Amino acid sequence: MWEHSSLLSWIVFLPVIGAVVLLFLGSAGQIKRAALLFSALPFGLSLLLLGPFLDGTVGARGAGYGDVYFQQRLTWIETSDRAFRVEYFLGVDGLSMPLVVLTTLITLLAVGASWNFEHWKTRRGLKGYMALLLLLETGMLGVFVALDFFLFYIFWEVMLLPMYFLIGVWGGPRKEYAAIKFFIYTLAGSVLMLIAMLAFYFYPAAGDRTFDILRLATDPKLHALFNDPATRFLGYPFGVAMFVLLFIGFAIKVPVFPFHTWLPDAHVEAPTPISMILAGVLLKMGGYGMLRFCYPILPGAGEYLCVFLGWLGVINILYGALCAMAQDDFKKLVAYSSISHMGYVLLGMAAMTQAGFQGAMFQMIAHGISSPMCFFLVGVIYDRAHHREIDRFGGLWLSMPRYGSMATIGFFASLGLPTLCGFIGEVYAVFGTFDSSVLSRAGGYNLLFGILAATGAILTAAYILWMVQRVYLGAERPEYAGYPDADRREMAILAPMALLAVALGVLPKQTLLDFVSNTLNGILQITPQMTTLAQGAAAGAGS
Amino acid sequence: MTPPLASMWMPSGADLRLALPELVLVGALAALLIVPLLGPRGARSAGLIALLGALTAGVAALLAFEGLPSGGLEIFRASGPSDPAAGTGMLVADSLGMFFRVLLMFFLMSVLIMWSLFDAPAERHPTEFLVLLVASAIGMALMTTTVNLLLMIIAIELASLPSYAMSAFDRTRRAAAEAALKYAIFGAATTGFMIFGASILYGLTGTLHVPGIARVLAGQASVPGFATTLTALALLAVFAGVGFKISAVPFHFWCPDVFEGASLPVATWLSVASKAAGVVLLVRLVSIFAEPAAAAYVAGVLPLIKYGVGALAILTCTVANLAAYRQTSVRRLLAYSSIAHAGYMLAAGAIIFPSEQPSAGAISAIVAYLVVYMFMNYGAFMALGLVAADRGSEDLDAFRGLGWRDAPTAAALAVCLVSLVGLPPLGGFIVKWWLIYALGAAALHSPFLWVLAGAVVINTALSLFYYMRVVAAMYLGAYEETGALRAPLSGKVALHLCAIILLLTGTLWIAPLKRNADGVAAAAYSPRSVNAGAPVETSISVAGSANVR
Repeated sequence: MWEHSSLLSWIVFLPVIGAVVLLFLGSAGQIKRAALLFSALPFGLSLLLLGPFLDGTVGARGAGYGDVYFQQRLTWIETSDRAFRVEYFLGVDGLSMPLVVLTTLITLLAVGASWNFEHWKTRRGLKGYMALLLLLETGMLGVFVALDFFLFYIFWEVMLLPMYFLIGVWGGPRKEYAAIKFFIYTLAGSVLMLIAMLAFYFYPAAGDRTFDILRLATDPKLHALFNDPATRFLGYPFGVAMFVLLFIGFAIKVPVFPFHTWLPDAHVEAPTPISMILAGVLLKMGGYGMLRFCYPILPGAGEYLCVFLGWLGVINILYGALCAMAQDDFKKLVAYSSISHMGYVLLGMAAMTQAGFQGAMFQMIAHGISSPMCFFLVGVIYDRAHHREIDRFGGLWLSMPRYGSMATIGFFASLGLPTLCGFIGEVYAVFGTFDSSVLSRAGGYNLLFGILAATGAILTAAYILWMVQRVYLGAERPEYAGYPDADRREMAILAPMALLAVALGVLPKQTLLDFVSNTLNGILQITPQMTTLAQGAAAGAGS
Repeated sequence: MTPPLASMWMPSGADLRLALPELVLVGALAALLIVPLLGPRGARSAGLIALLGALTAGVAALLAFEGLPSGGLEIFRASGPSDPAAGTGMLVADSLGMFFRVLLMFFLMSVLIMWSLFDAPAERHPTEFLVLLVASAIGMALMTTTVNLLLMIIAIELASLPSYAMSAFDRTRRAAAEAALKYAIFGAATTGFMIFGASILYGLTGTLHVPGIARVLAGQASVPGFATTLTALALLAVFAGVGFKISAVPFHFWCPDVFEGASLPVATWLSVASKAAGVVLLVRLVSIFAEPAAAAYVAGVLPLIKYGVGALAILTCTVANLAAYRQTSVRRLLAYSSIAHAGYMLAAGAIIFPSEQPSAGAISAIVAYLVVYMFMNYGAFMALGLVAADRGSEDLDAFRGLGWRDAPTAAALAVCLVSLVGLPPLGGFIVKWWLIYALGAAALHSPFLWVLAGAVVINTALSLFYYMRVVAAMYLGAYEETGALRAPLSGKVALHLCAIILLLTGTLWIAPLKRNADGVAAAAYSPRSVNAGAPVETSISVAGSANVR
């Protein structure tokens, strides 16, 4: 009963309808309420997506990758000779469902966080801001539910322009620089995806050509072709070349060192709600892309490149944490902590084990909840103090007890304290790394990476505890004594994230792992059937 | 059998009917010159004549689509008994040529509207200007249908000479005179090159008929001592002439100066029409050269063209996109943007491999690209004109705060610019997609095209920065509060129409655009089907190769 439905189309396009409706509204109050309505509706509808995952349908089937629900499939573009066919193909599986719910939730909270728009000291239109925010939501949701590569690409790019304007028009002092940097980095990565898309399309024989993302991964004929070391792209093994092209595009989004430099700028300059979306949702697109494209379609290359990817993950973890430790700017600290946290996602994937993949996925969702919360916490204090210098704060918990408690939950979730969401993802990713047979086959890197990643947790604890001490603890400072505590709106935004952080930390299996494990294990099951590129390459090197 | 003398030079009625668009334009030219003698001399009547001429020619071209055989046909065939080129046509009539005429006439009308908005009110010599404009249109129309080297050179000259004069038309401005001089000198030099190349090709092959040249070269390629270097030189020289019209790097130096010096309608006209004509001519030449399938030719001569055009394409878009970074004048920025787009289109010229349907993919991509390119460039230039009319400046600073002063105009311009970058969901993305799609399809036979497709997409990312500078000026920075744009309403309407069409071609019209482009490409001229019965000039070819040594 969950197979086919137009529900996803409604979820994806309701925000656009909302954006159009907004254009006809006049007063600020009306615009805000309409924006709230049109971001609450997709959230409500997206909860229906939990249906097949809760009633046991997914578990009963036990099918692996390619088991997709709420499908909608129409022919969109077709040339006269039928040689070229793009479908409007939507659907969710365990991989995308949690991200869709996360996206609608974070957007709803971001709309709430935009409620004090009038105080941003900008004369520029609330209407445009809200309309772009809703347009952005459509782009993000489209990326997660599109199952046709062409359609995916359209959504991926559609998201860029609203984000450019949201940072560039409503951002901080260096907004123009930050906005164009974000735009160019992301576009540079995504155009490489176009080449991969074309190569996936044209390499198979005429009858087998498709943009269907699931078929690219599950059709044995295509799979054998893509992962065959003899298939060459400009002289390089096809699988590795495509993996790298796709990886760069996604890595920029994650962001993976050395493509990360857009992130601190964008996060710091963006207004609070946009930072929440950037950290909560946009970064997840990179990880989602890797799990949706790189690993299912090109597992051989994933295995071949595992050490390289593992190194990048470890560098992200350690380098991000060290940078975060050095920051004076509160928001920059949170931004660098995102880089560090996303390193676990990359490392978990590189391990190519069940625990690793689930850890990566869990870390994405956990970070999608904790980092918007942290950014909002920074935003709350920035609204009052109008500066973000960590050293000038102190004793905030005393003057703002409710806010202080929420901050503790948010930052400790980010730190990875057991019983909060950050812990599970990191532990799974690190355990998966220790267990990883691909990393160990490649020369015992599993232990090295596991130890280094575990060290990262110490660094994380260091910079977060140090920050909490400087900002929230200590003696009350007179200049902050009169600040009002978090009001009802702010609590209403913080509370859902705090609740989810606790729920995910205490009941990880029931809240997430049960939903995603089928699909993720399915991706791993694709791997052994392959003529692995690693073996082929090793044989080639030996001869 | 000796044919009657008259048939040696008198074209048949059927041939004339297929050349009707050009004939109508010639008629309009005559009317433009004669009507002022009879009385009405204003810009209004002259503009009307030109508009009517363009409309009639466009309709004639549209009607001529009917009944064109697939594969086209050659018209104005030489038929003298002693004529070495007997049986070969001067022009072809095919779907691609007719499509280009329709596009060109539509664009001519659009430019006339722009001219009537910005230049006509103050123009003291409207007739002369319009004569030049229409004459260059005739040259461009001929450029895209010629299969004879001699006529090709004449057509290019007919398109170029009026352009030189048009860019210097505002005599009071130093910049205009300087630009025109640069343009004319560059043009003269490349014409010299082209004639040089054409004469070498004639010496090598003994014919001016391009399919004949290709066939003779194919026959010779396996002969020992085949002059590859000389052939390469000759082809390079001929393609240099085409490259000049397209303003491909390194033949592009005239372009930004001319665009800046000339009046806005002239710059708009050159940015689309002249480049489009050059690109169509190039694709036609390439598709003709791709026809013969002799193995030695495919291995020896075709790679020269493929790598040559491919390198030219990469160079053109990369250099143009990098040069555009430093521009503060939006006009110069758009000039470099038009060079970059010429580079993208050139990439399709590298799709060259003998197969059952040579170059159909490339032609289809070019056809779709030209349609969308016309709208996005016209929109951008129109917006530039509107802003310049209001602010009296074409600098980036003139655009500051436009997004807040006049939201609809700014939004329409932003759509045009983002489409020029090539982002979905706009037409500019879709046509770029069809272009790299064509490259990808052909790359199965020639992996080099992956590199070319890579260059195109990386350049897309490169180009983002300077287009977004205009968008950033409109929306992001600080600005002074000064009400909506004081500009003609019809100009704004034209701009909005462009934006709407770009939105539609990027979403709902993707499939119709592709289908029509495929239709044009599938029925385009193919020498194989036309000259199936024509004699192959083998005897001449031997003589030709003997002469070389």
